[in-house]
Order: sequence, then structure tokens, then C-alpha cells
Amino acid sequence: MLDFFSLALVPYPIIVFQILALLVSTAIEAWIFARKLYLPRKFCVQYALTINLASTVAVWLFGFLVQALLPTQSKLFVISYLFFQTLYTFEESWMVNLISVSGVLTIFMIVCLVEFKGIDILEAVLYPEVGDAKEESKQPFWDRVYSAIVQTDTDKLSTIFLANACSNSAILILVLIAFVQWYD
Amino acid sequence: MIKAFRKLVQLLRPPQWGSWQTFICVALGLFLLSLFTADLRREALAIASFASLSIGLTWLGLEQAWIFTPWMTAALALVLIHTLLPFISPSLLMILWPPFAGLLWLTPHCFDVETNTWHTPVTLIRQRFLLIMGVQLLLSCWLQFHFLTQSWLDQYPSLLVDDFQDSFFVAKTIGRDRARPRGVQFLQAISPTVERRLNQQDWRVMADWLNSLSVTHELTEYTQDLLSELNIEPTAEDQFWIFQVRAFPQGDGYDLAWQAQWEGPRSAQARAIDPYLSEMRCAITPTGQMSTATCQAPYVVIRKRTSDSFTDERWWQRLRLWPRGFGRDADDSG
Repeated sequence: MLDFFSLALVPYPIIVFQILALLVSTAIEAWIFARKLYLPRKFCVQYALTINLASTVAVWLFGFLVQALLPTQSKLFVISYLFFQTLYTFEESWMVNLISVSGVLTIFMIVCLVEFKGIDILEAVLYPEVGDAKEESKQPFWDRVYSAIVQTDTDKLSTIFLANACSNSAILILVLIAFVQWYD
Repeated sequence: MIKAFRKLVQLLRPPQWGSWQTFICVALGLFLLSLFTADLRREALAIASFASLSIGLTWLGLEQAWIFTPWMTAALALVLIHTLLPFISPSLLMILWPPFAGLLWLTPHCFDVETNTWHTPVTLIRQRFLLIMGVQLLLSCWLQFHFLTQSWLDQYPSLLVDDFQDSFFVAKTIGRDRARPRGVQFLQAISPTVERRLNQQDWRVMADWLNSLSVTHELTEYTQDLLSELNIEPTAEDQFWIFQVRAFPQGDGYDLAWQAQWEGPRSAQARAIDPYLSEMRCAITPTGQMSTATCQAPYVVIRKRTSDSFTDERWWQRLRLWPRGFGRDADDSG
């Protein structure tokens, strides 16, 4: 019955990496939110974990979408990169660098966008009483969610950007440290 | 034995009509009934039995407040859907399982049984739901990624012979050495035709032809012609296989070596040892004026690792983070 579920190739390296990255980035972002947004610590950890989960899911969905839209020839680059860490038929390193840098930038932008809107929606959904005026909390539930989507707070935007930059740099540094032990 | 049976009966005796035991007993009864019928009636009874069992187990889970009740119910419901609507792909149902379970988890918190109305759940439940749903969606994404790699392997099955140790995303688990490149399958398939074509030919014509093959030839049309006669199920990777043939003298006859080479994506390790390269050897000997051809079973050629073609370096070691001659790798000149 389970013949459609083959275990010859299992994506467990990326699963382990993602769990560790989620832990690290949640801790760092929660700390920055607590410093910058003056929210209670428990809320900060919940916020950070929820929006990190949301942004991870968004990045996955973006990846699935891109691979579905790619033509067959370019899909081979993706397969080759995911399976063998080489870009098929791209031998020049500047090409590889260009593709990887633009990919990382796109992912970072998606993460920032999702997390920025995510924290607004979260505040509206969870704690109408936190950080808002009293009459705001009397608004009906869906009105609050709608206004959270529409309104933009530049202060929060910069905080999200800073938190993401910090957590992603920390993960990058950890990855590099992990590689340096083999690098000799 | 009898004691255990009595205990089971005691456990399953319904204390009142509206209880989980009732549904389990109904499920058992329907299952027993279905054993004595056939065809459509049997199917219907079995499905009804399974539905009743699902309801009973869910009731039991809610009564005992098991944490995994939503996941169990979701799994049972999806198995039922799979039985009723077999045209929905099982992988889709599998991907839907975690978010469906998350929604089922929320249902008791926002549905009021007494007044039969829906309401928005309280703040604590909302925040728990968001966390649970996020985790469920992430699980779905991982499952989907797994199915995506599976579909790529269906299109490019030979990739499974390669070395995945550089990959940041996937790893090989079981059946590592069971995979064989598709080239072996192709060569296996063409060998009867090759034997038939080369048997009982005029030896002088044959020897001339074999002499002209003393340098490696691609024989594209010839192999395409051979392959088009076969009924191998085509895959996307077939365009990456090229076939080469070469003949060399062996005794009073010739040895004809057919090689299938992989031109598609491959890992850095495979560039050195080439686990894809498949070969088949046919011995062609003169018998009087005629030729006799016998082909051996095709095999995978594993090239020996030589020190200049293969290094144990991984891809991050090939990354140069700082200039050569600076730091500990000063003596490593390449």
C-alpha cells in the first residue's frame, strides 16, 4: 500500500538544519523584539517562533512555485544543486555566485516581508490590548486583522529587518564555524 | 486466554447506547458480516465498518483526552477518503494530513456543543493554534519536498547510483547499493538483438566492419534504431545516455565492447569514479565462413580512484574563503 512512499532518499539533513536554525533565530529575534518593541518576554518568544514558522513555510512555498514554473532544462540545475551541490553545466564560478547571491537575497526579502506582516497580524489576532489604544480593542476581530494588513509601522519594519539580519548572520556564522573544522 | 477474552468483552460492553463501545461493536459486527458476503456488498460493509471504527476511536480519544486524537482522526478520515476516492493521489492526502489534524485540533475549541454555534476561540487557544498550525504546515512542506525528490528520481532513476554526501538537502538511507544505472538495463535489452544481428553473417564482411570499429564510435543511428525496437518505458533521463562501441581483436575473433555513458548531472565524486558507466562485451568468433556472437551480461564499470583524478575534499573545502598561502593550508599547493 505504501509503495508510493520510497525511503531511498530522505531529506533529513535539511530537516535537522531547519529545526536548529529555527531555534537559533527564534532566540535571537525574541531578544531583539524584547529590546526594541517593549513587549513582554513571553509574547516575544511566541511572536518570534510563530513568524519564523510562517516565513519558513513561505520560503518553501516560494521554492515549490519556482521549481514548478521552471522549464525542464533549468529544473536540471535545481536538481543538480539540491542533490550534488553542483550546478549542472555551469562551470564558471561567477555564474554560480550570481545565482546563489540573488537566491539568498530573494529568500531574505520574502522572509522580511512575511515576518513584518506576520507580526502585525499576530498582534491583532492575539493581543488587542498590547501596545494599542483602548478603542482599538473594541473593534471587531476581522476589522482588526484588516487594519493590521493595511497599516504600516516603519519603526516595526526596521526592527524586523534588524532582527532578521542578526539571526541570519548568526546562522551563517554557525554554518561557517561548522565547516571550518573540516577546512584544513 | 479465556481471561483475556473476558476482559475484552468487559471493555467493549457498552455502558449506554451513546458510547464509544457501541460504535466499536457495530464496527466488529459489520466486519464479521462482510466476511460472509462478496463483491460490492462486501466493500460497502467493510467501508461502513471502518467508518464506524473511526467514529468509535475518535470518541474514545476525546473521552480519554489523548493528545494525538486529532492526528488519529485525520489519518483515519484520510484513509477512508483514499478508499472511497482512489483517484486522489495518496501523496496529496499525506500532505493534507498535518494541516487537517491542526484544523481538527481547533474544532472543539470554537464549536459550542450546547448551543450548536461557532465562535472565535479565546486568546490562549488562538496563539496555541497558530503555533500548532505553523508546525503542521512545516511538516507538510517537508513531506512535499520528499515527494518532489521522489518524482525527480522517477524521472531520473539513475541518479540514485550517485554519491549524495555533498548534498545539503537529501541523504541516502536504505538500498544504497541496490540501485543500478539505467545503462545496464538498456544494454541488457539490446543484447538479444545484437546477438541476432551479428550471428550467421559472412565473416569477411564482419571482420571489415569490426576493423573499422577499432576506434571508439558513437553509432548514434545504429543504437537509436536498436532502442526504438524495444519496449522500455521511456523516462526523462534517456536523452542523457550516449552509447559507444569499440572492437578489439581477441584470439581469432573480436571483442565488441558496448558502453553506455551518462552525460547528465552528477556529483563531484562521480566525476572521478563514474558509477554510471555501464558496459557489455560481445565475443564475435568465426565458425567456418560464418560468425558467432555471444554477449555477456552487462555490468557497471567502476573506475579505480587515482590520486590525481580524485580528492577526498568536500565542496566546502574547495571553497576558498581566504587566499592560498595564507594560514594553515600554506603547504597545500594545487
